[in-house]
Amino acid sequence: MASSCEKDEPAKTTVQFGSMTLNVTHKVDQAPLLFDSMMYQNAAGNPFSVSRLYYYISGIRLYNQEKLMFTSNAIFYIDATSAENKLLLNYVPTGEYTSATLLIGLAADTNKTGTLPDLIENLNMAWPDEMGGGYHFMKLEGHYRNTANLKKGFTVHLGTNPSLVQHQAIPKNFSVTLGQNTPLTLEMNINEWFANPYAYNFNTDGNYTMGVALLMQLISNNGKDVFTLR
Amino acid sequence: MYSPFVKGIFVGLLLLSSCDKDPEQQNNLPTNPGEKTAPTPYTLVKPLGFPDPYLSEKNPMTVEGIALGKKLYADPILSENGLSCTSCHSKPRSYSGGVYHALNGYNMAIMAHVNLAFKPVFNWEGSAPDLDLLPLGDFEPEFFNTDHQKLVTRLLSHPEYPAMFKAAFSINHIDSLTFLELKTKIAYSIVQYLRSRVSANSRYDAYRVYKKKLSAEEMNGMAIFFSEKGDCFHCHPGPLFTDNGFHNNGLNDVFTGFDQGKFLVTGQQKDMGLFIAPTLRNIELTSPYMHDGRFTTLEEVVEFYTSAVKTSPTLDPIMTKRMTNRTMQLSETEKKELIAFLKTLTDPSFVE
Repeated sequence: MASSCEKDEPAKTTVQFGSMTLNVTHKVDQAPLLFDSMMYQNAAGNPFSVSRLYYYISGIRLYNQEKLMFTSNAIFYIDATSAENKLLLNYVPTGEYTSATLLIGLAADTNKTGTLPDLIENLNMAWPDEMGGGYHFMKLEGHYRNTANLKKGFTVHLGTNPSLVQHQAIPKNFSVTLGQNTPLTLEMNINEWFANPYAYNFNTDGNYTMGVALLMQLISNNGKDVFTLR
Repeated sequence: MYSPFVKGIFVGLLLLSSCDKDPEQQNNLPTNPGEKTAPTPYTLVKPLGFPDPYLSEKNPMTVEGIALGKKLYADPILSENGLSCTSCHSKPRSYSGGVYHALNGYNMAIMAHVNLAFKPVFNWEGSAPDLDLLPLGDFEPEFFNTDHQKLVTRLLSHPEYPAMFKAAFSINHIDSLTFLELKTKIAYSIVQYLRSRVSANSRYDAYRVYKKKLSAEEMNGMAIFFSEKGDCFHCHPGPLFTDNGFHNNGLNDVFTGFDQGKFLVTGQQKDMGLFIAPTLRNIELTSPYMHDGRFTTLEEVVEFYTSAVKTSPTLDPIMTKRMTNRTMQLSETEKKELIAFLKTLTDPSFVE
């Protein structure tokens, strides 16, 4: 009986799953990120160091060519000063993949005050209601040397929905196999925040972006290609 | 309650490892099998919007432990000189207490005991990672100058303490504990009490849940606090009104003595002049301000952030704005509004 039934019904497709781990790392061009070290230079020629880097990754999507294969609802908080930032993606369909996209920040439906759990990191990322509410998408802070060679601070903060970074497709061929974990490295080049398309200059553009819509837009546009996968 | 000597803390940790072998089990087994021996677990209720508290596995909170700690906290019985914890952490000042002039020459503002359950590290410069052990330093000659035998005698002859130690820690014989074991249990009970002390009943808290209005002046001050105009919120975000982080807020451009801050703990230049951001809850009551208590009034504090931030290599990036150091550029009216808002963070029930 069973065999005859199977013959009459359309073939069932059973989705099988594996998992992925994205190990998030940070560099400045080819150099590893060392905090509080004035050893980097951006496209505009500003020498700079990094003191803090906190941000959210959300909306991870995986593609095979143009076909969307997997969407993650998870929101990941990244503290770049932590020794390790590993993002675990469960129930990833088995198969071949060619690219990924993601958001740096929070989609509009989540970017509302009090949406995220009351963890100290989320509380510290709050974007005050007085400035529109929700959360900082990113805090990138450090120091730079100005034209007079004096050490000054910079705080590149992103927040509010128009500043959400919708990262472009990150090319990478990889496979997910049944019951196995596929590890990849998701690497941020911090200098891409200050270049492509706009060569951001702390001296002339500003060293403080929070609440300055134009500057946040410039940084957000630059942020669409900060990650690579390998 | 201050232990500026990091090495001392680590010594304490090493010594404690030996006494953590349940000394009360070795020396204080219940004499009556039918009597209650286990203290009653205490659940700390966190206020709306607060993060989870940092609790201690080695020192779980109990009703009896908190009761003992509350009594000991205010009792000079612990000292040979009439001092108690509340001598320096006074109730009307939200359990802060002016400037302490330490024997090592450091002048340091005595930090308020407010919402300690929500802090991961202690002392201005972050020298104490373990709240449970922090009170051990108070028994030293610089503070309580406690004599072991005299303390035991006082506790044993007290009408309540023997029973309270028994209820809190199943200790039947206080005199059977070593001095370190006794100090540790006292510290544990005091810390249990401090962890239970939560301040979240200010007018601002009532405003948050739509139970009270703030005045127009206070609302204007809140807008300054939570916007780029004042930019107070990055280091003092609600509801804790601290980010529990370390910052150089521009008080100095030369660093000696206690002004070196977190550098004293880590030895790293990047930490020179950094101090933990204190909570602003009950800030109206906790004068003097800053790590060395250099400012007496909130007006002086606001004026500092308005016009006197100093540049140094470790000045927090947050303290920089629009190509220069932070200058809030507040009018005299706006300064008053900001201070009016800060005073809405006062919780009268916390100091009753």
